[in-house]
Amino acid sequence: MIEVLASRNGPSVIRLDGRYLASSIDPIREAASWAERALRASGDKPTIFVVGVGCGYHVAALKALARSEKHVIAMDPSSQIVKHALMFNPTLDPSDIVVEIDKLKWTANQHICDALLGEPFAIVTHAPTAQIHPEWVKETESFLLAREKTSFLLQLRLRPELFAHLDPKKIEAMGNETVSIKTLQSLFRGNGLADRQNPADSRERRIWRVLEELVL
Amino acid sequence: MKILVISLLRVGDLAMTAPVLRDLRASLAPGAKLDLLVNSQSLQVAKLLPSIDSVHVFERDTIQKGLGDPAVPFFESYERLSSLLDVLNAQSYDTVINLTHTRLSGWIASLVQANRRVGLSFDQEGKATFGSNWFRYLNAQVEADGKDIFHYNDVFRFALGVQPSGGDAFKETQEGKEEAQAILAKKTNPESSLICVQALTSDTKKDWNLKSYARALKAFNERHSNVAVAVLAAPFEEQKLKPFVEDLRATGIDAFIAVTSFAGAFSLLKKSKLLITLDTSIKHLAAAAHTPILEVCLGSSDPYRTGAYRDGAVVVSSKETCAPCVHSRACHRERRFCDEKIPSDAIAMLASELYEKRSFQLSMIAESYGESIEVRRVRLKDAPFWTLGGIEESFTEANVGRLIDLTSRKIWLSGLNRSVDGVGHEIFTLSRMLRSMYPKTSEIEWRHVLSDFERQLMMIEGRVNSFKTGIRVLHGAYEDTTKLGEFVRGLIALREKIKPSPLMTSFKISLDQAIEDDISPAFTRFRRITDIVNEIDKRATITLRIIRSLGQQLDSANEAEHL
Repeated sequence: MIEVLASRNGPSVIRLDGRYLASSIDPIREAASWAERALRASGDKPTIFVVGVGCGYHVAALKALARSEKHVIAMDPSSQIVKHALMFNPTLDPSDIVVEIDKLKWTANQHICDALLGEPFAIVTHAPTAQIHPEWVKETESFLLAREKTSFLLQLRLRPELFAHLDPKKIEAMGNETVSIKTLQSLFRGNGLADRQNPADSRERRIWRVLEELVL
Repeated sequence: MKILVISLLRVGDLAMTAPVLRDLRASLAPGAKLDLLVNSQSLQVAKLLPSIDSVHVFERDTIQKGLGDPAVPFFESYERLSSLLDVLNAQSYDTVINLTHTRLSGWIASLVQANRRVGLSFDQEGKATFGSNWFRYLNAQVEADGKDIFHYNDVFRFALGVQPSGGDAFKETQEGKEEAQAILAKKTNPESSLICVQALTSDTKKDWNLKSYARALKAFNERHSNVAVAVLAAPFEEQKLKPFVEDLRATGIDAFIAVTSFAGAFSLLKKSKLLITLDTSIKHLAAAAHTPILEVCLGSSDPYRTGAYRDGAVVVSSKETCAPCVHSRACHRERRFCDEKIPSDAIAMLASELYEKRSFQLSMIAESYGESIEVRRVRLKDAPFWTLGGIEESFTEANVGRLIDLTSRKIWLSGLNRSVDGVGHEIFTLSRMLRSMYPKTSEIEWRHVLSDFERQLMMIEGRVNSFKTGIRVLHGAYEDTTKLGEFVRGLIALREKIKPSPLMTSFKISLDQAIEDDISPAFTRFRRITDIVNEIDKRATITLRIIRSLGQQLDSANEAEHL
């Protein structure tokens, strides 16, 4: 059950099934502190995925702190929560928030796809959301990391140039271990030379060649 | 013209190649752009290179970490590398020069669009390309040991076709000067001279024990009491060096630890009258700062490839037969004998000579301690290539033959044999070097050695001609393993014949490549054998020409005398 309450310092907060999604005392101050830590943790990465929208204060604080230097995308499983967050934070742009509960549909979301490709990104998690939706948070993080089989295969859909170099039979036979560069090495077609079947994509294969050499 | 140089090895390797980059810049037309791609650790050295316009950074550690860390998105390393390549390709380079010579750098070189590539790269089919005979040679040299090889800087210079130019390989920065000033302020006597000491390396196998080092500095101090000693150190080395420095100070030496950046170290070296060092990148800074260098070479240090690129630098190493040892392995002996056998007195005396800019006692010191150490000196000025030889190199077939062989190899690899002037110039430079090295050698001794060399080469020419006939016969039958095996046995016999000759060391190395390849398919093997026989044939012609030219110069000298 969603309840909208006033915090001690004034701004509204959401209580969902008895759990606060932000500080019941000073959610703005908490959000500012969270945003500083998140920005620091993101390092030089130009994009930040925020897993869990909650009351939206931390997302708004992060966007304000990062200004135009970082692209912030927030994700949440609940459209109702997001609706309230947008009300509490008029500066938040709805297009920067993705509401989707089904990970299989994330790769259909252009916003997510654009953020996943081209530049490194950081993942920061909203702890109250993790307490309320632990499975969803875990799946979202896993999807973004692409370190387990399903999420790796989902993200592979976004990379047809890479996919063209891989052997479908080997993909099918893939195990469930954490995805690493060695996993990818084992999926490539042929004997590891530039893929003669896909010469147009040899840039892709060569980049992975460089990465393989780093691991050797 | 836009050029990208890829230098992804260690900081010391980049520092070493600074003169090459300077010479490359000097060879370019005004307005040409020369950029550098380095690892992030090398950035502080890259910023000191006046020859470079822009520096791009390969975030090796971050990318490598990202691959192995499950908390980092899997594709992040790919995106980082891809972004870097986009930035590089936006520059539209005409030429990519890869000085790194690793598979990693070769793949990166292949990904940067350019009309021309020099150094290791990979073609469309994933096969290695070198863009120059010199880089192909480098590929083979990696396996070679001993002194019959070219310094890496020479390989790069000759591959790029650049001549030595004047000018600074490094530039002093304001920050570096200020750092150096702050360190010099530690001197007890501001008027005293300064020497720098590099006491530690990144590899304990290359370290000289600090007790012996201290003894050497104390003995040096007995002769030169008004000299301050700056012990160069990285921040994490400071604690380890404190007792060493305190020990020196307790005997009255004005010694202090100098923790500096590369910029600060360079400025400090410019004010220093001597650097005593182990095998570290600091020696390359000292070479560029024109500071006299005394290097103690231990463990896996290999001065023939990476020695200080400065005329007159002195290198001391022990005569232990296991030196240089394998880089990546721990010392296999019960004690580090190479370390123990370096006499502190010898180092002190050599340091004194270099400090005073004298050289007449160097050979006496080398001889006195000749049982335990080898003392060698770099020759670079007015020489066809960098060499490291005895202080007074004795006139032997081995020493002369080696230099002729290197010259012949240089002519061959540079393609100079196609031009009369090219060969003539190299022979002239070699001749000048030989005359300065052996001023007292009599004409009779020269003629004896040269005629012996000529005889050896004529024997080779005869054998090579018969191999060329053999190749024509083998041409249609190389799949026949018996016939191919017989041919290879002939090559083995030739190799045994030339093994003792220092004049033909490189011929032997080439023959090794033909003989020891027993895994390639028959056609590939046959082609390699053909190439090597042709190479030896041409090389023998070049070497013979050198020897006859040297002989003719003796004749000319005689005529001049008689006139």
